[in-house]
Amino acid sequence: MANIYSILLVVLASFIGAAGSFYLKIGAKEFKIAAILKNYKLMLGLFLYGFSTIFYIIALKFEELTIVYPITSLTYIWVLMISAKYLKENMNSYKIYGIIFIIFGVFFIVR
Amino acid sequence: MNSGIKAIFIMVLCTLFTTLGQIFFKLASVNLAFDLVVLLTNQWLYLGGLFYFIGALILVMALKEWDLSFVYPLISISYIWVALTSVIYLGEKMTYFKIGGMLLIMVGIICIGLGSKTKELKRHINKKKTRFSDG
Repeated sequence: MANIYSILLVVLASFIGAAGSFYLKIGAKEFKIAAILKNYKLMLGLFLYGFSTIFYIIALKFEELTIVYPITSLTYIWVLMISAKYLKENMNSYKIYGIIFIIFGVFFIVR
Repeated sequence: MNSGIKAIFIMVLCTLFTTLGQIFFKLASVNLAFDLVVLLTNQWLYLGGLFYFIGALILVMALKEWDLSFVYPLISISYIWVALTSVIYLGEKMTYFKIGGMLLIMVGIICIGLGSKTKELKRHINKKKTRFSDG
């Protein structure tokens, strides 16, 4: 079993990263280069990206890269869930198979 | 150059930058401490951030050019690079469970890419339909 603290830190980092992508996405809709610093959604997205990296690097301190890096694929699952709920993006069987494969893959990695 | 080959070439480059960023982040994490001086003088942290940023920049440009369903599966190349470089440069051990896990994750990402394609294609077909009805 991989280091439990590292696993929890990466799961947290992947969720914060996914939230970052969400804000980048809604910030990109009103993107204007002149008003980029006033685009709070975009700035929040960038901040969350950076913030998630802190947890990620702490996780790396206690566990191998070949374990920590694959767990970041959970980001894909969070992004799909957030997009389905808040952006009303469609969920289909391909995406659900994808989620199942990634969950099994992560279980293999951390076992 | 053929657009497909160009996309693969660009994404190989992108994943290589991302992977190098990961290796540098791992090296940075060894000297990680809650000490501002130690943090700010950690050169691996800067290198990792720089390579990670360049990788992300290439990814954003690729996403502007090509469909998500095409770019996503190519991103999963990074798992191969990370596996290889971690064994060679970080001396990490590769196990059957790790290989199996990474393969499952790669299949999962490819599935999600395919799932995004159906949506994009539908939108494309709808656009064509409206264009025809207009003319």
